[in-house]
Amino acid sequence: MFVFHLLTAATAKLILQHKDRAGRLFLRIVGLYVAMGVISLIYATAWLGVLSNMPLSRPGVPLPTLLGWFRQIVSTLSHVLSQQPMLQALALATLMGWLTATVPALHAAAYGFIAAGDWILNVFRKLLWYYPIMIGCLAIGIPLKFGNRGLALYGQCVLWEMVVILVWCAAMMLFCKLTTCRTWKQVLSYYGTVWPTGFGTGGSYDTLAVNLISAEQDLGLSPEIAEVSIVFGTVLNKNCATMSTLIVTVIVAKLLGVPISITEIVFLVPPVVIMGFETPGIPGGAGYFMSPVLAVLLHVPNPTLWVSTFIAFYSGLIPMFSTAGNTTDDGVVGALLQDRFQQNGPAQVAVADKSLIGAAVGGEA
Amino acid sequence: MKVLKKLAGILFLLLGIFALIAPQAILGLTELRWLSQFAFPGEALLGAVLVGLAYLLLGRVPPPGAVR
Repeated sequence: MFVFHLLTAATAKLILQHKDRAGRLFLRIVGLYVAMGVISLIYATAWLGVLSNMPLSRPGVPLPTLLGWFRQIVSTLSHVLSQQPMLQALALATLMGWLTATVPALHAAAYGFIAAGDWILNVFRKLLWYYPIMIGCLAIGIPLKFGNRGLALYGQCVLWEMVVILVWCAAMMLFCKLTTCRTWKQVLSYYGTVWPTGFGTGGSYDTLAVNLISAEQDLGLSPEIAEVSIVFGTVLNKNCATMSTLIVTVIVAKLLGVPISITEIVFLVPPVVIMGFETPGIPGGAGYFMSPVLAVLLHVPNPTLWVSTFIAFYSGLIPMFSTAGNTTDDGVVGALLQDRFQQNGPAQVAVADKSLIGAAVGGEA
Repeated sequence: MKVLKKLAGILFLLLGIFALIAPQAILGLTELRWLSQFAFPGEALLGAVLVGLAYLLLGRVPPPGAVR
C-alpha cells in the first residue's frame, strides 16, 4: 500500500513538475535501472565462473534454442504479471500516476496521491530513531539454523556475496566520482551514511528515509530529483538482490544436488532481471518472490524443498549486503540524472517545481 | 452533497487500501496473514482504481494560479 502510493506520487510529481520533459526523465530513470540490472547480472555471472567450480555446460544436456530462451522470458514475464500482486500494484501505480497527472479532470487525484506520498515520507523521516533498534534486533536474529554442511555452505555463500557486492560498490563509487561532479568527500559521506543503514535494515523500504536525506545533503541532489529518482530506485532497483539470487541459486543447487552449469546461469539472467523489478524491498523479499520461479526454470525435482531451502539461505547477512548495494546504487543513479538531466535548464525546472510542490502539499482538501 | 462525496471518498479509500494489502498479506506479519483469505485475482487492480477514485472524490485541489 505504501509502495503503491509512493510510486504513484513519484510518477505524478515527475509528470506535473517536468511536463514535456517528464517522458525523457522517466525513460532515463527506468533505462538506467534496467541497464544496471543487466550489467550487474553479467558481472555476478563472471564472478561465479571464477569463484565456483561449475562446468561451462552439462554434458549430454542440449542447450535451449534462441526461440526456447525467448519463450522462457515471455513465460516468466506473464507469470509474474498474472500471479504476483506486487508487480500488478507497481504497474498500476505507474499507470495511475501517469493518468491522474496527464488528464486535467483527474488532477485532484494526482494531488491526493502526492499529498499522501509526502505524508508517508514524513512519517518515515520521523521514525529515524527506530533504525538502531531495528538493526540491533536483526543482528540478534541472524540464525544459525543449518546443519554442519548447510552452515559451511551458508558461510561460503556469505563470503562470495561479500566479495561480489563489495567490489561492485567500490566500482560504483569510482563510477560516481568519474562520471558526476561529486567530490570524494561527498561520495564517501553518502556511502558512509546509506551503506551501513541499508546493511543494518536489510530492506530498501526501511532505508528510504535515510537514503533521501543523505542523497540531498551529501550528494547534493535537488529534492525534485531525489524524491523521484530515489523513490523509483527504492521500488524498482534490486540489482544487488538479483546478484545475490544467482549466488544463492548456485549454493542451494550444490546443497540439494541439483546439477547446474554456467550456461544455465546465463540463461537465468533475463528472467531474473524481470523478477528484480517485482521484488519487494523487505528483508529477504527476493528469496520469497524468486525462488518458486527459479525452481520451475531450473526444473528442480522437489520445488517445495528448493523454495524452503532458498528462503532459509536468503536470510541473515545476504539481504543485508544486497540492500546496502541496492540503496547506494540509487544515489549514484540520482547523481547521474541530476548532472545530466538538469543541465538542460535547471532554473526553469526549479521555478516550476516550487510552485507545483507548494500546490500539491499546501492544497486544501 | 459535499459531505456525502467525502464520506464516499473515505469509504473507497479504506476499501482500496484493503484490496491493495490483502493479496500481499501472506508475506507480512503472522498476525495479519488472515487478510490474505480475502484475496482474489485482480484485487490489486480493483484496489488501485478505488484509491484513485477516493482521492478524486476527496478533491484535493491546488490553490488558484499555482499550476502553470
